Parts: sequence; C-alpha cells; structure tokens
Amino acid sequence: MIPKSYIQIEDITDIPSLPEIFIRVNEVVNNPRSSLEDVGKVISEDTGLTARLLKIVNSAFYGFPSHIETISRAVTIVGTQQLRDLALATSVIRLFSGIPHDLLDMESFWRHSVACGITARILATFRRESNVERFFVAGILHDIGRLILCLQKSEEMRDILKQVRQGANTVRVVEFDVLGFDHTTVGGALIQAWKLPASLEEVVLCHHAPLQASRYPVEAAVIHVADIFSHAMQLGHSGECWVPPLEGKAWDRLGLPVSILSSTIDQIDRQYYDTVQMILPESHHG
Amino acid sequence: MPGPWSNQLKEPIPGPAIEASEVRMGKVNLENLKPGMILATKVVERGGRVLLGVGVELTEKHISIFKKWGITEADVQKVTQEEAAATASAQLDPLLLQEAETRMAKLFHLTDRNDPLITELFRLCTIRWVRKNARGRLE
Repeated sequence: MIPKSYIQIEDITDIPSLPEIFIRVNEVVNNPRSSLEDVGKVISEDTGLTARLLKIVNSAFYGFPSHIETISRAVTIVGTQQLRDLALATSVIRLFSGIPHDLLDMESFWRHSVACGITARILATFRRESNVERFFVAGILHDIGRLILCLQKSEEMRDILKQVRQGANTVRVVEFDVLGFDHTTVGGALIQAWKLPASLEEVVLCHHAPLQASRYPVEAAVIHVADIFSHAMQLGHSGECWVPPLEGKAWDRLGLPVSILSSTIDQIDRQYYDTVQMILPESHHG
Repeated sequence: MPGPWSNQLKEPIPGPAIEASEVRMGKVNLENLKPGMILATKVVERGGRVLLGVGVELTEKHISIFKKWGITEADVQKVTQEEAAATASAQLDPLLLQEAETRMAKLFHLTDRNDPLITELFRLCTIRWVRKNARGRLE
C-alpha cells in the first residue's frame, strides 16, 4: 500500500528554487577537480553573498584572531564545504516570501531555526565532530517543510496552528491528524528536490523520530535535541507552542553528560543575538 | 555493617541499605560548584591531564580554570547536585520562581518530566526565566 503521505506530497508543486549562485557554489565545491581558487572565484561573483560570508567568518561565532578580508582567504581558513554550508544557510533564509504574517511570523520562524542551528553546532563541538557547519545548516533547515505547508495548505495550517495554541498537541502530531502527513516528510522531499546532501534529507525527515535515521543517526539525534533546547529556551517561534517530547535514546546516543547543559545554554544565549544579526536579512532584525 | 566482600558481591542487600555519609557525594555542575567544596575524585580534562587531585579544597581560581578548560562537572564530597541546585534556586525571588515554574510546566507539558535530560533542562530554563525577568522588572 502506498502511504497516504506520498500521494499528498505530489500535490505540492512549484517549490521555490535555490538561488543560481548557491547551485554554482555547490557544484564547484563538489567537483574534485576544482581548486580553492575556483571556489573563491564563484563566490566572489555574488557581492551580496560575499559580504554576508565575510561578516560571518569575521564574527565572534568564529573568533579567528585576524581579520579575513577576502573570500580567497576565507576559503583557505574556513574551508570550502563549511563556506558552502554557510552560503546555503543564508540563501535559504532569503527564499521564502508570501506567507501571511498572521499565519506564521517569518522572522520568528527563522529565529527558532537559527537557535536550533547554534545549539546543534555547540553539541557537535562537544562531540568533537568534524565540520560543525553542517550541523548549523541542518538546524537552519530542520522545519523548512512547514513553510511549504504554509504556502500550499494555508487554510489547513491556520486551523492546525490554532489547535496547537489551544494545547492539543505538537504541531507535527496535529499536522498528521489533519493532513495525513507532516512537515518532516514535506521538508525531506524539498531537500531531495533541491538535490542537497542525503544527510540533510535524513535529518529533516527524522528530527522528531531520530531513531528511524539509519544512515545519519548522530546528525538526526543532534538536531532532535537542539530543537527541544530551542523550544525550551523560547528563542523564536516555529509555530510550535510546546517543547516536543524527547526521544531519550537519541540523547544517550550522543554520549554527552547532562552536566553540559548549563554551559550549553550559556553559550546559546551568548551567540544567539549576534548570529541572528548576521544571518537574518536586515528587515528581520526588528 | 556489611558482611565479607564475597558475600556482598553474591547477595547484594536490597533497598537503601547504604545510606552512609561517605556515599553522599556526587557530580555537581560547574555553575553550582562553590569555593570550599572538597573534591571526591580527581578532575581530568578531556585530553587526559589531571587538573586537581582528590581531597583538594576548591577555590574561585580553580572554578574559573574549570570554565576555561571546558570542565562541566566535578565530584565533590558531602554535596549532591540536587542539593547544590536547590541552594542555587533558593537565592532567587520566590514569587518569580513560582511564576517561572508554572510557565515552564505548561511549556513542557508534552515531555516526560522524569527523564534526566528534561529534568535538568526544565530546571535551567526556569532559573534562566527568573533571571531574565528579574532584570527586566528592575530596569
């Protein structure tokens, strides 16, 4: 039997496309024949992206001792994959428009996503993961399916979010009750349509059910926990009103002691404001 | 008194048999460590280097070194994390604390409050809310 969810997702058409500049950056980073110089050249063609990336790599978020003035320096110091991931994070945030403010506050939505990204990055650093930027971008993207739902199923979403505010359950559960699928399936399908890495797809798909992640269990567990922290700290608002239930085994899988929470929360609070300023478009600073 | 070791290993005494005072030690979070606490086990940084040995009395300086070295907890004698945490929240405005707990209970109502991670997250978010709002109301 074909699950109902797959039939429904086919209805979801005309998804926003990723900016041309990001697609080219992604291609040049993935091409084993391209040099660091090639990557720098492609990024430099877009002055907006260049300025945003330089702002990020020169921020306290990185804390490099000397000022990085050019993209070619950034490529050598930060790394090509990391710059690609940061480019994706800042591009996606600028992509969605046309969602009514009274349905979903976009600024608040992205603030929650940034909080989740920061938290994921901090947890990944505790685990000494390589390239923590992929955790940051996964956090930014984790709820992206909800934006598609708000664009394409806006009347249903209005009803769903109202039920959630009244305390019915988490958005995910109510989405499933009303639509027969939820934002994780739609988000996963979007990541796939955008031809982004399979790890991102699995994380977006499994961030509420991290034990179902078979290929990237650690990534899914990190985002699952980071999402819970961001809700508990009430940084931004994704439409969700409640801290989602924790899958305890996902936390165990990370092998981190509970005693890191206190310093994690302090670090999130310290990084949140600056990262929001850096990542969100000016109009969202409010 | 516990019997010979061999007996104890084979047949552990059920229930809270060991409530002796030397057991009352525990891992205390960095934020709850206070000068004067005595280390029950050595403090080792992630690379394996021993920073402080058993029996050392903590000073402000030790605690600030822990912060810099990324030490998040230490085993201390005679104090459990619960007690240390209770002391920390006892210093907060009781009215604000009560309001924070009510708000957090609502926010966390879909979670399992018995889970150790959720318990700690709840506690920290409650304190964080009180601190933020205490500041806000003073200004």
